[in-house]
Amino acid sequence: MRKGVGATPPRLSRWLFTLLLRGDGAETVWGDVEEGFQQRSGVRGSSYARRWYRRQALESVWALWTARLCRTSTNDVELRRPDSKGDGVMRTLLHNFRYALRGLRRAPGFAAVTIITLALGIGANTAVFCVLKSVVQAPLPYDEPEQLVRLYHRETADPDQHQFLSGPDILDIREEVDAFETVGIHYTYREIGQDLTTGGQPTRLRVLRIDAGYFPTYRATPLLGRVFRRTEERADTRRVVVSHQLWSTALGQNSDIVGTTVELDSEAYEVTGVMRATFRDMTTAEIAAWIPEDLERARDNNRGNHYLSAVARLGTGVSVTQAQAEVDTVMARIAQQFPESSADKLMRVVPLHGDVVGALHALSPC
Amino acid sequence: MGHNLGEFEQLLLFALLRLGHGASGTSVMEEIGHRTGRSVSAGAIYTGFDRLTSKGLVSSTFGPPSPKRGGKRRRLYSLEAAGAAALGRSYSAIGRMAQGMAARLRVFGG
Repeated sequence: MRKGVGATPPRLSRWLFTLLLRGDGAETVWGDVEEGFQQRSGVRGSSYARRWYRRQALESVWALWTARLCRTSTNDVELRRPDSKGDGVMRTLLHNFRYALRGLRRAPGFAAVTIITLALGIGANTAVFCVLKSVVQAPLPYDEPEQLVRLYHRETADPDQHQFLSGPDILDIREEVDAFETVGIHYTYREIGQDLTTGGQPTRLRVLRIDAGYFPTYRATPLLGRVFRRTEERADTRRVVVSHQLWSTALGQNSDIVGTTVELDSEAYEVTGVMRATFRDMTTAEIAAWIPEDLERARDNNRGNHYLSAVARLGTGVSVTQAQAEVDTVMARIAQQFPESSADKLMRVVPLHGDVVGALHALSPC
Repeated sequence: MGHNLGEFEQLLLFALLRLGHGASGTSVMEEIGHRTGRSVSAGAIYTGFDRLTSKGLVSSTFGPPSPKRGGKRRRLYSLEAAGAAALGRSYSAIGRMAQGMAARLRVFGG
C-alpha cells in the first residue's frame, strides 16, 4: 500500500464532477471529497483513497441529482387530498408515479440521461448475463466432465473453507483413495513466467507445474510424443510439454520436435510432447507449456505448507459421497498419525463444474 | 409550526451539536461514519444540509479556498436555535416512544 502526499484522484471520477455538477453545491461537495481523499491517502494509502473517491463521486452525483429532481416537485409532494377515494396503496402508487413523471418533465435533460443510462445499463447487463448463462450451462470441455472433482483442504472448525493442499496430504490421497481413477496435481499459484529463447529472441511464457496424473485426469492425450511419468516428478527433470499454440507459432510447427530441446530461462528442456489444439487448461487457457512439479520435495514437505491444488477423476460408478467417505478415512488416519500438524484437517471433494461456475450460476438471471 | 425530521436529518443535526459552530461537511461525514459505522457521501451531506438550511434549522457560510480541497471553498455549517428545538422535539418523541421497550425489542431480536 502506497501512502503519502501527492496521490492524485481518479481522473474519470473528477471528470464526472466537472461534467455533471455546477454551482455552490458542486464546489462544496467536490471540495469535501478532495479533502477526504487527501486525508485517506495519507492514512490508508492511495489505492484505498482512490476507491473511496470513486464511490464518493458516484454517490454524491446521485444524491445531488435526485435532490434536484425532488426539489422541482416539492410543492406537489406536500399536496394532500383527504377526500380522494380508492385503495390507499394504489392511490400512493399513482401519486408517486405522477410525481415522478412531473419531475422528469421538468428536468428533461436529467430525464433523458437517466433513461438512456438505465436502458444501456439494463441492456448491457442482460447481454452479459445471457452470455454468462450459456457459459455456465455448457459442460466443461473434457471427456465425461461429471466425473471430475476438485479437492480442497479445510479445517474442522470452518466448514466453508476452501484451502490449498499440502504435498504429503495430496500424495497420500493419490496413493490410498481407490475411488479416484486418477488425481492431477498442479502448483497452486497457477503459473510461473519463463522465457523461451528461440533464435536469440526471448518470449515470455506462462508455464504450469504439474504431476504425471494431470493430463490423464482430464483424459487429454498429446498430439505428438507423450505426457510426464511419475519418475519425472523431480526437481532435476528438464522436460516440457508444449501447447498446440506454442508449437504452431514460436516452435515452427515442427513435426519432429519431440526429443529436441528448447531453452527455458537459459536451461535446456527436452520436448516430451505437444498437446492437442482442443485441450484447454482449467487454470487458464493461456498456459503455453507444462513442466513437472517436484513431488519429491512435496513428499518431504511440511504438512502445514499448503501450496498445491488437485483435480481428481472419480472411478466409473463412484459418487462424490463415496469418494468423500474414502478421503475422510485417509484424512482421519493422517490426523491420528500426525496430530501436531493435522489434528483438525479435513479434505473436501467438490464437483469441478460447480466449483468453476458456481458463483456465476447464482448471478445469472436469464 | 414544528418540523418533522427524518432520521438522516437528525444525524446531521446531532453531528453539528457535537462538532459545534462552523463544522465542515468533511468533519460531519467523519463524525457520522465514526459513530454510526455508516458510509455517507459528501453529496448526501450537502443535500441534507441544504434542506435543513431552507427550513431555517441550519445556517452556512463559506470558508476560504484551500489547496488540499483542490482550491475549493469549504462550507461551514452551524446549528440554529430552530434546529436545536426541532431536534429536541424529535429526540423527545423517540425517547417517549422507546421508553420501556428495550426488553420487548430484545425479544424480537433487536
